[in-house]
Parts: sequence; C-alpha cells; structure tokens
Amino acid sequence: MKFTLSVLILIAMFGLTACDLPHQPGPMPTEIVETDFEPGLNIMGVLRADDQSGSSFVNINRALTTEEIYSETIDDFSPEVDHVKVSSQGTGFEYLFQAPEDTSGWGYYRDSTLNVLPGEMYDLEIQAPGYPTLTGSTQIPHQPQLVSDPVSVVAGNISFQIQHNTTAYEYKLYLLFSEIALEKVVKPSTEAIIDVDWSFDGDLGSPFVLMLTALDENLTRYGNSPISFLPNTYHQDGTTVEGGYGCFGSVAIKMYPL
Amino acid sequence: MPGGHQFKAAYGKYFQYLTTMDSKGDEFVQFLDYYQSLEERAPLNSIHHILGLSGPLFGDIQYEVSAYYKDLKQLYRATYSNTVVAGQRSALIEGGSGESYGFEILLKGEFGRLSGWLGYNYSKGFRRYPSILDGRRSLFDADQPHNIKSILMFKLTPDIVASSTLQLTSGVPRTWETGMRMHASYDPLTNTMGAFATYITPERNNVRYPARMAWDIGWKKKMRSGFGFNLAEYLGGVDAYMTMTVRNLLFLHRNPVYYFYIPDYGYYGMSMEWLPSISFGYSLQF
Repeated sequence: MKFTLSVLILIAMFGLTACDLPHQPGPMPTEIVETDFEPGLNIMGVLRADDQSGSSFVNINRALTTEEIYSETIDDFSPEVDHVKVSSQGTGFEYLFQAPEDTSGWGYYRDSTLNVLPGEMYDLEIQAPGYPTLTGSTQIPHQPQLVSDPVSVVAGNISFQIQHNTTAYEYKLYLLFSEIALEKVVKPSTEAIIDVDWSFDGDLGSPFVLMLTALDENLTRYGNSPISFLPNTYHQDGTTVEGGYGCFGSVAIKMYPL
Repeated sequence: MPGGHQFKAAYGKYFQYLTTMDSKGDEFVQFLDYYQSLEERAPLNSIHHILGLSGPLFGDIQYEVSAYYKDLKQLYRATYSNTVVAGQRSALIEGGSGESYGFEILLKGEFGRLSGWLGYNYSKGFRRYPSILDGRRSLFDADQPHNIKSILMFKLTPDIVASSTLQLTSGVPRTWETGMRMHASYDPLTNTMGAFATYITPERNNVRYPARMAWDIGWKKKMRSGFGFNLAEYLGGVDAYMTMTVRNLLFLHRNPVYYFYIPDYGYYGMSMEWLPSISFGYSLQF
C-alpha cells in the first residue's frame, strides 16, 4: 500500500511540475533537424511572348521572418538590387531590367526593348547586396495554335482544337466579351490535338476574341502549387529558381478575333 | 523452451485492399473529410519481420519482449499540397513507401492486491513521397519513439477496485516554419500578378512537440442494492457494477496540437483538452 501510494504521489508531483496555465505559452518543441531561416529574394518573373516589347517583367521582394510579417512596418520589403539580367541562350543578348525611377514600382523591373521569342531559352540572374545570387531559366512555349481557323461560334457554345506542343504544360484560354472575360484551364495529356468544347451563358452575347495562352513548366508547377494556412505543416513551395524563392517562367499568347 | 519461456518468430507479407482514402490529415477543420478513390492502384502492401520472447519472471509476474521491422512497400497519402502538371493523374493521391521498427517490453501480472501491466515501447517510423523533399526520407507524422503505458488496478475491498491509466509518450514530429514569403499568382489575361503570404518550410517534421502525458483514474464497485442492482436483476443479469472515470487528470500539463504565432507575445501552444472530465455508468454482466 505504501509503495502504491508513493508511486501515485511521485506521478502527481511529476505532473504538477509540468503545469501550464492557459495564459502561458506552454512547452515549446525541441529541434530534430537544424532549420534556420534562409534570407533570400522572392520573385515572380514572367517572360511574355505576345509580339509586344516590354511586356515581360520581374517582380522582386524578399522572404520574411515570421516576426517581420506581423510587425507594423516591413523595412526594405523590395530590396535594392545591383542588376536584374535576362539573357537569351540562343542569341547571347543580355537585357538589364530596370525599376521605374520614382518609387511607384512596387518591386517591378522591366526592359522596354525585350520581345521574347517562342521556343527560345532564357536565363535570369539577380544580384542584390546581402542576398545570394538568384538564378533561373525558362523555355518560352511555342505560340498556341488552333488546328482549324476561323472558329465558328453557335449560341452559347464554342468548339475548337488546339495543336499541342510539348513546350506548353498548361493552357489558359479566355473568351472576351464586351463586358466580361471567361477563363478555362486545359491540362494537356499526351495527345497531339486537344479538343475543347466550351459552353457559356448565351445572354453574354457573342465573344469577339479567343485568347490562347500557353504556360511553361515553371509557371505551371508554381501556379498549381497551393498555398497553405495550416500551421506546423510541411508543404512544397513550388519554387523554380536557385538561390532564392519564387518563380521565373514564361507564357506565349495568341489572339484569335472571332 | 525450458522454464515456460516461449520464443516466437514471424515473417509475413500483408496486403490491404483499400478503396478510398480520406483527406482528414490535410484538413484544418477536422469535421471535413473528402474521399479519393484508390481504384486501379496497387494495394497497400508491406513485409513484416517479428521476433518475440515471453515467459514467467517471478511470482505471478510475466514478461513479453518483442521486436519488429516493417518494410512498407506501398503507401498512399491524400494531399492538397501537391502540384499536378500535364500527363499526371490526380495530385490528390500520392504513392510512397516507408519503414518502421521498434521493440516492446511488457510486464503483466499480480502483486498482492495490485494487478495490471506496465509496458514500454520504442519505435521509429519514416516515410518517402516524391513530392516531399524531393523524395528524401522524413519522419512519419505519428513517430513517437518512447511510449510508457501502465494500467494498474488496486483491489481496495473485495467489491471495489480502483484503477489508474497512465501514458507518457514522446511528442509527435511537426514542421516548424522558418519564415514567410509571398506566393504569387499570375494572370495571363491582364499580365498582372497577385500574391498571398505563405509559410516557408524547407524541412519536414523538423521539430518534436513536447512529451504528452495523460492520466485517467477509475473506480469500479460491485452493486449490492440500488438502481443498478435492481436493473440488472430486472434484466436477468448476473452482476452489476458502478463505474466512475476521471479523465485528463493532468489537464494543467498542455499537450499542444498546434502552435500559433501571436505578435508581441511569441508562439503559443494550442491544446484541445482544457479540463478533466468525469463520467459515471453502470456495467451489467449477463
């Protein structure tokens, strides 16, 4: 009896020493793998093949510590950079992206002369003081093509075929009406021709443009990598660049007037 | 074996033909569950190796020692945090593999008016999935290496038995965020981008939550009169017992299930069990 009582008292004492009142933070986890915050640039760079110069951009900010993101002000969220360089693997031409001279840039960098070519490979290099050099590369998808053109539209429905090219990992299609645009995402399979049968509300009237966009592998992977609000849970970040965070991808555009 | 000891060895291939897998592990609101089909996928299968030894120790006390190794050849997980690209099947189910091993020591029997069992087991579990750390091995979400559990019953009188259930286990491994970043979304129509804050998790299950403790006590009394006794008699029962259980006695020790960052405060461990609970009931024996 004495032995049992002693055991129970010992257990109770052990339990009481580990008390945490509700207003206290409670016991903290112990580290299994040493995992420190890695400072780095966080970007979204898109090279856009749309027959227009200057439509490509790179948006630059940086990764934040958890404490920083909850603070009232975040200093230097879009840090100063030494250069943002995009170079063509095919021609060797280099383009230095610049931010606007005023402070309205919100971290955007552009080059007004760059008109990327479908099918070409491009490299990105960003250097910023205090951060690792960020690099990435992308192959611009071939411009999406319809198998038969023009496309006929009947009341509330449009059907067409896309000639799939393996440089495209996802297609985003848009039907432009006078006041609205509809979007459809098509994930290609191994078939060379993609059939699209698209119904829409006939009250919208007739669309005047069919816009086909083909995304490269980087934009597709990053764009389909879901964000998570679940705390203390691993999730892929979908990063497609080296030496930092974010995505450097490309998109090819083709417009078909209807 | 001499002295009443027994040695056991087992080897087996196990197949589980599950038809669906639920998404509970990936849901923040645990009332939600979506089921994904496992049709046309290979069955879950594993190879088990088990060794065991058991026998009398002293008096009425017996022991059991066992060790195991499981090669988990085919596993699946349901996840939303996966990327699907051209030509791939649904990203909501992902195939993987893993392994687990460990050993267990168990003492059971009677010592005077005290009876019950006391067990300790050590176990490790690992998983591999292509979308997690590029297929590298990481700790299983339910990996709790040390586990001490005791169930003791003390006969106070011939009709009254007090019981204690105590469990001390290692905390589960979880992923501790190193920071946050903006995850951008690109709109090809307008050539613009939006952004959402999301966590940075370069490692999986890189921290271990604090050790978990749970202690319940109970009371069982054989009824000789009163409602329970009359009910048993009316229903033709042999015996009636009144049971009382006090659960979560160590409620002041927090067993966190999540940690939240609170500005100007720091991390706060969130627990689901705030107070002990008491339950009464009748147990009728037929």
